Amino acid sequence: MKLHKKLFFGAVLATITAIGTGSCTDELAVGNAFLDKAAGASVTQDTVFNNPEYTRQFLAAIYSLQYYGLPYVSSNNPPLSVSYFTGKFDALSDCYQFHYSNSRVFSQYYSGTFNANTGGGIYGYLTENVWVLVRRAYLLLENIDRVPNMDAAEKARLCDEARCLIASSYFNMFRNYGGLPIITKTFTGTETSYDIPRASVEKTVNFMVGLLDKVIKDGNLPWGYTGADAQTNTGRWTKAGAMALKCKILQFAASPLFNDTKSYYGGSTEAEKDSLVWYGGYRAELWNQCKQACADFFTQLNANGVYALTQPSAKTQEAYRYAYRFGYINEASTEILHSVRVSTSTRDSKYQWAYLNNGRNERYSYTPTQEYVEMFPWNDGTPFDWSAAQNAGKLDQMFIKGDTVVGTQDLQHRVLTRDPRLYETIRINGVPQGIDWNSGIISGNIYENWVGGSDAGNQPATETGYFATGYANNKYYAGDIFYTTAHYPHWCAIRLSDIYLTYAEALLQASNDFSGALKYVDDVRARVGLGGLAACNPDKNLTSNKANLLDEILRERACELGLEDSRYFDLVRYKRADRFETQTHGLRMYRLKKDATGKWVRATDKWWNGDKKTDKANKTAPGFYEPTHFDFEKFELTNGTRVQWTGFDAKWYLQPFPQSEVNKKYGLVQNPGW
Amino acid sequence: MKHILFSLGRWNTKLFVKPPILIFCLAASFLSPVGIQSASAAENIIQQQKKMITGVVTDSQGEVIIGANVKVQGDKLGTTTNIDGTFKLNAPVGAKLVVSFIGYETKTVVAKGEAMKIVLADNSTMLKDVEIVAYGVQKKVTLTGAVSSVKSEELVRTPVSSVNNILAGQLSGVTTIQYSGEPGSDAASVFVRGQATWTDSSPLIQVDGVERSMSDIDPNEIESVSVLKDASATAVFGVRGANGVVLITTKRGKEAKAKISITTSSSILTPTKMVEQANSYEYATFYNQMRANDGLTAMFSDAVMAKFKDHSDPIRFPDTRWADYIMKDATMQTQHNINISGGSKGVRYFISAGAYTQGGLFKEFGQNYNFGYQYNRFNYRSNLDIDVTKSTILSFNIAGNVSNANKPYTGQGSSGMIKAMYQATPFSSPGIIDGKYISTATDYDDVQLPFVGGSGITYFGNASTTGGFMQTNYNKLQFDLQLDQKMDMLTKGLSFKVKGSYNSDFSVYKNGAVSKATYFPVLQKDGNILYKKTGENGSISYTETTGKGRDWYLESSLNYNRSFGQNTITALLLYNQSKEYYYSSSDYPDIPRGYVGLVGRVTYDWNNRYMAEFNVGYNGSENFAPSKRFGTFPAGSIGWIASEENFFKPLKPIVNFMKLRASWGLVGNDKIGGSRFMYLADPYGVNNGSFSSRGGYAYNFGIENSTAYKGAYEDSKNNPDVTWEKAFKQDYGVDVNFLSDRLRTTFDYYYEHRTNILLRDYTAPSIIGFTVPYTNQGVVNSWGWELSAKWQDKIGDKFRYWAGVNLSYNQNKIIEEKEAPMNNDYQYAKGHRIGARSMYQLANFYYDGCEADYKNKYGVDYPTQLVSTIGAGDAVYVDLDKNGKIDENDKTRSNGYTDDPQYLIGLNFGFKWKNLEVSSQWTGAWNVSRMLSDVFRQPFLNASGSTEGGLLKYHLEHTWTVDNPSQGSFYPRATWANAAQNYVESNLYEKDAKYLRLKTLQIGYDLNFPFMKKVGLNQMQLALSGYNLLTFSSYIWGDPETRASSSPSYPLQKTYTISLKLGF
Repeated sequence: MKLHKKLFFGAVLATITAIGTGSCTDELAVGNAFLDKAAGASVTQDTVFNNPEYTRQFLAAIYSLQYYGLPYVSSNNPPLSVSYFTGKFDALSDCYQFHYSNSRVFSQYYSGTFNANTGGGIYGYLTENVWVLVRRAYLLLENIDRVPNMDAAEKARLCDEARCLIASSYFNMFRNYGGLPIITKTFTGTETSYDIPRASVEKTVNFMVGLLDKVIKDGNLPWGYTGADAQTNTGRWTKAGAMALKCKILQFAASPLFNDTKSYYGGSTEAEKDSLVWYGGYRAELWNQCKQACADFFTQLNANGVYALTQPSAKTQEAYRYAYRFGYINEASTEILHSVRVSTSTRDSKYQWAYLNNGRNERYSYTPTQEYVEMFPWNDGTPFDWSAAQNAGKLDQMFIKGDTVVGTQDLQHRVLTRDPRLYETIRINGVPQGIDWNSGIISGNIYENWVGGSDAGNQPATETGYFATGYANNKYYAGDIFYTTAHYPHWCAIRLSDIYLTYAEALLQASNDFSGALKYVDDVRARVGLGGLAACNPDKNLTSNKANLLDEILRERACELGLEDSRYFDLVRYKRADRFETQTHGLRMYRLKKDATGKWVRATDKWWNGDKKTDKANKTAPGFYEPTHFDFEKFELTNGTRVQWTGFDAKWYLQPFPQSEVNKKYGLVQNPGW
Repeated sequence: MKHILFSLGRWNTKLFVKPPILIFCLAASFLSPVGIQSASAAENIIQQQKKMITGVVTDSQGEVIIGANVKVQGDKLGTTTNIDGTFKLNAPVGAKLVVSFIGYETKTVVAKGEAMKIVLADNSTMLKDVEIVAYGVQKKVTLTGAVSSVKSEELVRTPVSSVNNILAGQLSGVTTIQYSGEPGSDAASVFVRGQATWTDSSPLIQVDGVERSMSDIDPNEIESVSVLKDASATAVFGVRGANGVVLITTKRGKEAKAKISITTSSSILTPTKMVEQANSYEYATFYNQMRANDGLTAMFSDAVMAKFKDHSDPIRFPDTRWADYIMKDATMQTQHNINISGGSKGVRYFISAGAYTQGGLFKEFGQNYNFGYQYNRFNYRSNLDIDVTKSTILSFNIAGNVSNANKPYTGQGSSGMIKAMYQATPFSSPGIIDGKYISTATDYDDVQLPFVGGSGITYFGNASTTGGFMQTNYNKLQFDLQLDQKMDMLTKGLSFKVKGSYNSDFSVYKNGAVSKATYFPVLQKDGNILYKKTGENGSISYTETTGKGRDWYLESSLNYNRSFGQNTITALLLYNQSKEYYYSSSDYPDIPRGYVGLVGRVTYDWNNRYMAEFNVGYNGSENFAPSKRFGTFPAGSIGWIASEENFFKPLKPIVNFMKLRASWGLVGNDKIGGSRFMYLADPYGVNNGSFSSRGGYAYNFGIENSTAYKGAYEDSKNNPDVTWEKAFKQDYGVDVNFLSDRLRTTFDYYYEHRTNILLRDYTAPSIIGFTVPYTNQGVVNSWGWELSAKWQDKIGDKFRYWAGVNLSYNQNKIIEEKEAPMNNDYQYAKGHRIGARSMYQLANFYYDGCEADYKNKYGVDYPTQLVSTIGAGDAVYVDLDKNGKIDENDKTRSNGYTDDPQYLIGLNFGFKWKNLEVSSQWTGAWNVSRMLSDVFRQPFLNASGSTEGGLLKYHLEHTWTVDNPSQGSFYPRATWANAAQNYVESNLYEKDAKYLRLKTLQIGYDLNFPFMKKVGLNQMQLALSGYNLLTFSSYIWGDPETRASSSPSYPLQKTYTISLKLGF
């Protein structure tokens, strides 16, 4: 019995100790009291709108939901447009071909398999955080009155920024879908039914413009931020941004897709009958409204300054390139009317746009097409013409020219023969890769885009990878400098040169103002040293031929606004099925090397990483000098063959709404053809 | 007899249609009141002298038996014993009296003139059998709930790390799926009666009455595993019981001399099945062919092809079969256990210590650190029962384990590593030479590889990956203290029990990450190969994190168990509460999880013949709003042992026992998904400092401004009305034993209606800008049946044999899931089994003219397919909605099966002859499938694209080609261009995964040496056993239980074991 008692007490003691240690922080309650300690959510709506700082934070968080145009994440969560599994709009235009087969662009858009049931899409109706942004903006508008300790002026400013955020996200949706359901308040989630019908194009435009007009009229937003304010507030919506956005909305609305004598899909669909995807006819006043919005913008610009095209410091190729680059890529640029930010460093490991581009990863193989390259004029502004250059024997100089100096391996007196923007936009054969971030000086090894070259390798031959077309993208990247030293990567949502070109287009469309239009185009060209458009194209009668001038404006937009979402929507706006149907090309370059007999023969090997090293000691060796002579072979792109090349279905002008959303029957009407 | 035959005949037509109905009909037939006794029998003994015979019937302990049958043999005269166990019967002296009672051996005695004393021997298999049920035990014979159990000896036939893996086929109504064979993480998923909800459908698992994990317990410590299946058995668990409950009871000592049992075993493990990969030449050939199919130029040049073919340049143009290269042929497993049990008058004990080790299947290539898979575990347990006083028993358990799991550092777990192996190219590397990882390159001076592709060793640490090891040490400790006090002084049959448990675990996770240089071969002019080094051989960088968890449980209960004459009443009233700290899987790790419960149970039986039981669980969970916190879960059941009825007697020689049971009740499930505390006010976030790139809400205003503007945001929408799932369960069962218990059968049919399943209502517009909160609107019905039969007999004294089968069928159907509206019913998950896959239906591979054949076959025009230009050999899908085009609306969930089988079978055969014992257990499953995906479906797929991945050998011979344009090919034409057509989800890639496997086989021999007696050795058994020895399956993508998908499984293993068991 003694033993038992010892064991008994030992056991009791051990357990009591154990439980005691386990529950020393608790009072031992029973029943309901035992469960009473559950958490109260520490932060609720009241917490946020009882605190001015949290209210400001609430607005900042809405900013973080804005559309960012560069795919920088690996994700299948919204917003999908920033995932490299989606791909960029530009890759649907005639300027770029994307070779990443796991992307939506490649696997669904090129193949033509995308439909209303596929889900997602290049700018999905439900996968871009647009509706979350809209809800949160209305939450701010509905609750700001009760925020204590915040003055009326600040409240008004925050509200107007919220309105710009709503308008801009509506516009992003509008240019992909046409008329939209118009949301003017927040929902609770307990509604028993919903009636949020899709509005017509006209109503949708009026809704967006209405929001902006209020902002513009109220004057609660500064025209632009300057000085110390700019250091901390750039990136907020400004009056200039609101006015520029209005120009862009009206430009899109006035364009033939929505504003024409007939609808793009034949007119028999419900969406067309209800004017959900067009105005129902041609309205000349729309171009006038666009022109007026641009005129108002430029009036304010002249009065208030702040914004200007970044001008070159000298009339050199480096200076032109630097001005152009600084203009779009640098946060300090005066050329940016609105920018969007998602990270503070290009070396952020979650900012894969820079990281994987540095690795020349296939996921970022936005390879420019030969068609695009040929849009860039010579460096004096005269148009480039392949056959003319070929006949003149100038193909070897179509990118660079220079002198081979005896005893010096690298080419000397190198001249970039084309529009400086070509080299900023595209990695071109023979161009030194190194770029100085602060001066624009280029140096170092050249790009070797030829088959077997150090950079392209076999990629142009097999039409795969980063150099699949014989070219590689350089926009928003600027050589390796964007990644190798950290920078602040922003997305340039609205740029001044875009508004210049928009105004030019509106002047031409609204009032056949050829000289006005040419002036604004030439301002943009002059910044990179190109001659006047009319003077450079004497055969096109650009002072009188509207169609030709319009074409030139669109081409100029492509060259100026590469990879800035411009070209694709320009083709959509103008219903340019012909361009969507254009079979695009790449360029296979073959390095020519003299053989023992002195004959030029093709060589598929490297230079700076090959011959240049091995033949270094021998000035007469065929590999000693930088290659300057090439065979050029344009080839049809076959990797990622687009269904649209064999016939463009007009339904592709607008994206489909998800079928399941249409099926919910709250008033959403499907777009034509889907 | 006529009547019975007629009944059988009448039902004969349906015999093969519905087995469950058949069984019921059989049962019904037996019950038919039939008068089939012979009338002439009684008359024969009329002439004899009759006298009042009296006696008392007791059991071997001297306790009187109430209600025993006393019958004159060959006469219809008979009576039953009264409350004192006595009987009076008017019968002739010298007549033969047959005394019988359920649970005792029937005895025939000669009637005597004086008061008789008749002792009935226990029929141990019947009355003494108890079944572990919730918070106690019940006599098996009067049990009315659906419970199945398995005993210790079935669990230790072959050593496995986790008892989960040995349950398959042992218990009816239990589904196990073992996806992975990874050491230390190979426990099978367990479901009780399938899945009745799409949220968490795993059962509640308790060890000795407290929620604990079962996968790391030493099987040698287990006395029994009981599975509670119906509402009657589980209602007392309230909000936690709806998915069934698995109760594990550990062994305890009995009052006897100390018994020492030692087992030791060692095993060889080999992988069950790997999928074979193509070699370099095959790879390149197939690649070029696939390019040609798409009208593209060849990727691999003739020169490269020649190198691949002749293997003349094995360093620069290698041909590595990764599975062979990185995997061992076999690895080792050992298990040892020693336990001592026994007890004196006042103290009983069971003390056990066990060790288990399992090696990994992947080679380590001689590194100076240990990065292979390895799992070691040491289990210990001490269970003590102390009679503190005559009426007080104190029980004290200490148990725990220390485990150590080592595995390579891959960043993606074992499935990532296996996936990388399958996605690797055979020419990416010749492997590791002199400790150096060699990678091929695309920049050779002479012949160039078009690409390198992925390496099959991602765990080594070569330039592109981080290698090293990950080691997790667990230390788990568990205490139970229980005091059982008889309260007979208050009222007879009453007892009081109080129990406290404390569990804690502590884990140390350590990883060592290291990167290795990669060496690229460079061919020298003299033909030698030198290596260009990239990266550095880094030193290991260690990180260490610790984790901890603790929880406690308190319970107090009043038990009542008393018989009044032929009435037996038991009752239970129990209160418990528990708290779990550092509850990890949630948004509020600092807030412990708590439960409170009240349990009530009353059972009644009359004369072991008519039974009724009522259970109620009253539970509270802090996870729900205060007003919605508590729920009541009642259940009732009734039982009838029909074989005790008089009318049944004629059948007794054949059917010696028959019990009918039925139960109904309501049980809850609070593992509903979503987050914790969904009832609170909508949460907002403030001061969020990370940018969109990191999933945050901060913003960067300004010009190169390093200060983040913090963000505030609406986090989610909550629902104050959130509550648990409710399961209304019904169970109808029959237990029938035939031929003196030699054949025992059980059949159950069940039906469950699960409501309040948590879901989001996707019928609301998505443009309202927030995700609608979770609501309890989902409904699932599930049903099925279970049949088990076991034959046990002996031939002569020396030969005992047995054969058993248990068969389970489970089906379910989603009745409501509030999915976003779709065009056709077949697209919804609603109306289908949980887990039913959405897929296209294959018509055929395209051939010229198939359009017309399509129209003939399906009656509608050939539809536009997913891609616009379809080529010969491409997959053609069926236009289910007949709208002329294939799109998502043609994806159906009405095809095929799911990952969890509908039918499961377990077969047990064995015999014992003299010292030899052979037992085998087979398990099988059918109506089950696996979906092939990733590289198992699409050639050359890898994580980053579809052009530089791996290729399976199977693709080579089973792909449609121009040369072999067979409709019977497994894969359609290889293509990148039409990948969107050929490699989408379709029934082409849904593979039947039915299987039958020899799960365990044991051959044991009891050695008998003269010296054994001297050293006190009672038993010495040498056994050979095997696990997963044979698998029959049409599924060829690895083991049929594993996955051939983007998360492929660590291979399951075959085990060959030799073990020795000593008993002192």
